[in-house]
Amino acid sequence: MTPEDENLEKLERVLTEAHRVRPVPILKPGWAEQVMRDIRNVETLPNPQTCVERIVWQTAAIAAAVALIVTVSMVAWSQAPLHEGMGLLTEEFESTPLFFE
Amino acid sequence: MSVHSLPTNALSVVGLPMADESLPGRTTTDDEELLRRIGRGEIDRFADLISRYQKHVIRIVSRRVPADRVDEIAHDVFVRAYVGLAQFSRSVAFEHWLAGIAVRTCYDFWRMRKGEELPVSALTTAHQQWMDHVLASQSDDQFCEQARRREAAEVLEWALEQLSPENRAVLTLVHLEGHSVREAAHLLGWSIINVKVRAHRARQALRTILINNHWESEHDAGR
Repeated sequence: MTPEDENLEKLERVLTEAHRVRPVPILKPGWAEQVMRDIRNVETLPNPQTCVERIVWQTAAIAAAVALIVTVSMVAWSQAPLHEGMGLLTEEFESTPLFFE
Repeated sequence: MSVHSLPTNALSVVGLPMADESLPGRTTTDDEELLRRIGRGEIDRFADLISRYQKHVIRIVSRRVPADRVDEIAHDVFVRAYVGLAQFSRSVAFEHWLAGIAVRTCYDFWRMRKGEELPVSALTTAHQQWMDHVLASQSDDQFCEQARRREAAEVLEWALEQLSPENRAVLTLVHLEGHSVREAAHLLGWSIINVKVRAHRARQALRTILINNHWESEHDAGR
């Protein structure tokens, strides 16, 4: 081990010891009460995650309802000409002989 | 078998950090009961958890952030713990879970500070002289005396300021506090490989900082 490595190790060790003996500060009086006040506020505030979830579900429900209405109206609209077409086709079959006699 | 039912010495076998000596003697069933009551809506019972663990949290926080910010960060730790209480799986002791939140809150503090780009403090002649005293100290008593000096804390802070928040967090846990890589990974919520690589890089970075300073001071003395 070179003298430089030894010096580095010494400095590392003293800094580790300095970290270990770092004084623990004394908290301000009423600190715990302040934390509890904030915790009670957190409890009464609406949870942002819940708000987002509610918006997502509401949007999904509206989108589903719109899709259902559009589908039903499309089916209703497309059924009328289909009946008409089928009726005309039936008339055509009835009035025209299928095979030449 | 849950971790709670293991004898205390078995915790070191499974690689979990041991309980802090500053914690009052009690069983984890007390915590379980408190957590159950808080879960049922008795919010005021959280004050009991605060008084039980505030020393533990303050000790962790005060070794990581400036002294004037300890109150505020410790406050955040308990609020975060309360908000995340539903995610506490009880697979580890409550103090270990809380220690993880404390370590990550301090890490977040330095990440936020990184964005502010504050100037790094410079070492003075007094700090250089302190380093010379350290290198010249022969006995353990002299060495410990140097470690207790104000300059020791200031040089440590000066060196840590120059590290990235990630390197700082890992160096503090692994090299300064002697946690195993697995414990550090558990506390930071990172992978073991990530912590192992970071721990190596962080130590190299610290050594480079110290070497560069040594060269600079020798260069200045030579001029």
